[in-house]
Amino acid sequence: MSTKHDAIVIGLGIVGCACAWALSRRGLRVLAVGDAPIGGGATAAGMGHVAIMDDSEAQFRLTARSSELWMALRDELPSEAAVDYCGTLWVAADEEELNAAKGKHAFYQKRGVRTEVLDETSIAEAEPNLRSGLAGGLRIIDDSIVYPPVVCEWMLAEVVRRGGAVRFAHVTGATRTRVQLDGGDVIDAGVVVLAGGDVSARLCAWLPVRPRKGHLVITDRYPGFCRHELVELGYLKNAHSHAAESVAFNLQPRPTGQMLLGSSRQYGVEHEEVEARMVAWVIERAKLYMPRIGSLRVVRAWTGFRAATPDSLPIIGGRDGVDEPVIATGHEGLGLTTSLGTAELIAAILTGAPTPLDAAAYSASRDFGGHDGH
Amino acid sequence: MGTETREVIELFIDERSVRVAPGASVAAAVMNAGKACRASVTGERRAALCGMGVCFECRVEIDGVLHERSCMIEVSEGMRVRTVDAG
Amino acid sequence: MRAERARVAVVGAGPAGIAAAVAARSCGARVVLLDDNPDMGGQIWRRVQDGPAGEWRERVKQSGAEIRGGVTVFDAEKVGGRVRLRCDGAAGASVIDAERVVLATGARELFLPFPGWTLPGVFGVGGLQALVKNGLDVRGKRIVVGGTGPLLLAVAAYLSDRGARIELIAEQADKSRMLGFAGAMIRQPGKLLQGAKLRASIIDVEYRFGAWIAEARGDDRVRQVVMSDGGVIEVDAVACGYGLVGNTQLAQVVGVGIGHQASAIGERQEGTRHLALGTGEEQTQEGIGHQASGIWGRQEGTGHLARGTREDGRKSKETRSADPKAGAWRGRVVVDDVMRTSVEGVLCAGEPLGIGGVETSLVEGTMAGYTAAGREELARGLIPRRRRERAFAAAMERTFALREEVLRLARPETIVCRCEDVTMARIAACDHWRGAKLLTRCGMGPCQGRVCGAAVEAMMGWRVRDARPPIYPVSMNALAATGGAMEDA
Ligand SMILES: Cc1cc2nc3c(=O)[nH]c(=O)nc-3n(C[C@H](O)[C@H](O)[C@H](O)COP(=O)(O)OP(=O)(O)OC[C@H]3O[C@@H](n4cnc5c(N)ncnc54)[C@H](O)[C@@H]3O)c2cc1C
Ligand SMILES: Cc1cc2nc3c(=O)[nH]c(=O)nc-3n(C[C@H](O)[C@H](O)[C@H](O)COP(=O)(O)OP(=O)(O)OC[C@H]3O[C@@H](n4cnc5c(N)ncnc54)[C@H](O)[C@@H]3O)c2cc1C
Ligand code: FES
Repeated sequence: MSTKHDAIVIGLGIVGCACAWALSRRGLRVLAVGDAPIGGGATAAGMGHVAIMDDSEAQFRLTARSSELWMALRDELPSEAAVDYCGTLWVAADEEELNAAKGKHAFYQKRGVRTEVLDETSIAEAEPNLRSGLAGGLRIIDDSIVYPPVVCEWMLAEVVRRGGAVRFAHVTGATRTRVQLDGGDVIDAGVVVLAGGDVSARLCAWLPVRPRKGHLVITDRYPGFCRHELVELGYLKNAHSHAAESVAFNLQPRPTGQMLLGSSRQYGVEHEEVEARMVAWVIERAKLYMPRIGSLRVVRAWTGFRAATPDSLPIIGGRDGVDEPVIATGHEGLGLTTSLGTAELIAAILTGAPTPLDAAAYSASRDFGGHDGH
Repeated sequence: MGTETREVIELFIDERSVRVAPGASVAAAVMNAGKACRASVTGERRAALCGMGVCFECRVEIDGVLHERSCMIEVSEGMRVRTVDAG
Repeated sequence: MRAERARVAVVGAGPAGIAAAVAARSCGARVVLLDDNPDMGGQIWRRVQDGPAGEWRERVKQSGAEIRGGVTVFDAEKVGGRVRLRCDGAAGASVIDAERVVLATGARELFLPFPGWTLPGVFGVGGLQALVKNGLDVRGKRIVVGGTGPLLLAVAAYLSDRGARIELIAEQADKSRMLGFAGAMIRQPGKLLQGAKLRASIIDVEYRFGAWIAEARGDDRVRQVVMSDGGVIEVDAVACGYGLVGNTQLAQVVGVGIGHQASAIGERQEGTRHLALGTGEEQTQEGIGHQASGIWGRQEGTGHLARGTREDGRKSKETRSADPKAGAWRGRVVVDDVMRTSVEGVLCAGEPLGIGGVETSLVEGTMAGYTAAGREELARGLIPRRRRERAFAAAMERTFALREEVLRLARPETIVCRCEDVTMARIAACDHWRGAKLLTRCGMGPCQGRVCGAAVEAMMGWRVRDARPPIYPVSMNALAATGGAMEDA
């Protein structure tokens, strides 16, 4: 049996799985290697919200392209992937936030994204459990939710069907064309892609990627309690700020009828324990928007680590003349969404396949403003 | 606690009046009335299994609160219980 | 929200917790005794007012311990040298900062899935007894009692006493094993039947060894059982349970070491609450292993997680624990010889240390109470008694070791996870508990894997050790109220 692989992808999270899948769809024989279960890592912890975002033009393009790719995939995915086009409802608490919503509306309209501004009355009708007196909101009609671990498994099954393989092992060293596994095995390939999430810097020390912890809680089933993915517009102001700790109201109705509530952002926390203080803070924040949520019963709480970069954009591609893997990480709080765009871009870089995305915006060689991530 | 001195307690299971001895669990009252407790996520009828608060099979709606473990709650006067077998 | 301090808090008011409260009070410590049931007594003394149960109830009431029923402890955490218990209940959320906590959280039944076990009318053995004690009417009902352990006989007797018609008692262990155990029983005859008066009525019932319930059939409820020999019995209810598993969730979240060997004393342990991450040397060199299976073809290598076990959050040394049949897969809290766990200020007694029965729980509870109150020397005096009780328990565990067949009753379409309706086929396609959770939602429902996790541990040999707060479903309000800063508590 030949051991020659066209590509090795390190990491079995959604980014690694999407890259392996995209490369094998373009005819490469891919070995996917990871040290956690398929879809483990941040991917298992995330909310699974596919959102078109507008913080920057580069972020918009990547999320919008990815959203298109998710839409194209929706009928292929197994039903357990629980795809649901529930839309996002950005909630504006006051006039200032409503103005911001209108600004976003204009931004999206210009770029062909379907959105709708809601006033005080229509937001109350759309989500009766929101407190009264909110100024309004912005609905992003084609945003969706998905359950990522099942997508990961589905993608890797396809990789295997196309002659690729999956291996569970910890990678201790990697170059552009070789990986070394814990235990000493060395495997060569045409190219190595590193999609190791927030711990990618262990294999590529320069990477300016920092773990940013998040807490989520999920309730028992309360079908109809909310209908859209709800996000406070205050999120704009604080989520991407680089404060040590923040929380923002973010509620997702799972297709099961469960309510998934997020989320917190913490830098510098080195353990994965569920912190009662953070959970309490997340819930208090939610109660400002949905007082009735307090009586819902939480069945589980958990944490995950996002891979944060200094400019909040992922790092996609290789650095010329450096013998290190091609990078696909740093997706922070949007990696589920942007995994498909990332994979398309990686495939374009490695195989010349077409993509509407501009590689330069996410390049590993871009200026990170002096941050070294450590 | 008032109920302790009563000889029977009247509660309503799926809108029907049921009389039980004080101190009984809601699960016992529900099953004595010939009912199951909840619908599973694929729609199976389920009733109490563990009797001690562990399995969550005995969940019913009590006085408007969803997902209560009926084996861990004592009946009380006028209580309104809703099971999978409601209407 | 109520916030308070206590010298000693005891979680669980079964025999172990009651004994712990009495012992600690006798040394003058202020004690709070908490249980999630409305009334104290735990499993064996549920609704029992006479005999030893009555004596201990009286003793603890006289002791001056503060007894609170209907209180669920959903989290325990070390905060500033004390142990913070987060609680919820009918009286609202509360926080107790205790100098010492005794975990006396008892055990739950082990249920092994078989076709039809989700039908209404199929209960646990202890489960049916508990329900009947709380008012379920079994008069005239035809019942088959199956599974394993001394509980079968005790419960059959109890049900018969309540007017049920016991059709058969089916004990999976072979008679040859029972003979050895019978010797032990004769030496300590009181043990098996405490809490249950054996009545003449039960003597007519067939007690069949090496037999088990293979299937339950019915429509809107159970109507028949099919026995291991193919025989069919008409029934109105089924009681089936395969022994007990200790409740170690609270111990897990506070970071107490959990071991796996049959002896509870001085064994290997694992687990710390705070896993370091990031710094190279601190890497935890274990995680969820990966076994070959299914569509992935050949797989190899034990997984080495870069950062402990992420969502699982606890270390685990190996994927597959020891021989399931020997019972060694059951995780047990590890304590020293006076009931202290690996976490300062946290003690443990009774079933979480390994299934021991009521006498064991009483001795260990007493020891834990003394140690918690600072009178370790009194606890030491009880070491020989504890050793005797544990030896008996170990013999019992060997006698009722599970046979292979009862671990294989589920068919591919049999539901294993009852909260999320996940079938055996879907679970069997996975490699480990974490993978099964992620891909099938097994264990993701409100029971948090208490039923399916224990079953899967026994059936698949997977390590299931992933308790996280809240260990029981609680309202958002309770989490919000108890999670805040409490420095002045
Ligand atoms: C609380 C929270 C909520 C989120 N919500 C959303 C959301 O709603 N929408 C959205 O789009 N995104 C969301 N995200 C972000 C998203 O989850 C992540 O960006 C995404 O999952 C990252 O995927 P990944 O594959 O890069 O990383 P991971 O999923 O972390 O996978 C990386 C894998 O690589 C493995 N690995 C690393 N190093 C090695 C090595 N040396 N050898 C072998 N294997 C290695 C790791 O073990 C890991 O399994 C959220 C994140 C969090 C934490
Ligand atoms: C139905 C039944 C009948 C039994 N009959 C016998 C018998 O006849 N003879 C015999 O020797 N053994 C019997 N056993 C075994 C029995 O478990 C032990 O003998 C004895 O009850 C163990 O005492 P314990 O105090 O360790 O645990 P338990 O009696 O199980 O008490 C633990 C208590 O802690 C509570 N608890 C657990 N977690 C929490 C939490 N987080 N917050 C609040 N409260 C909590 C539980 O609800 C329970 O009330 C029986 C078991 C069962 C299930
Ligand atoms: S019967 Fe199991 S929780 Fe009530």
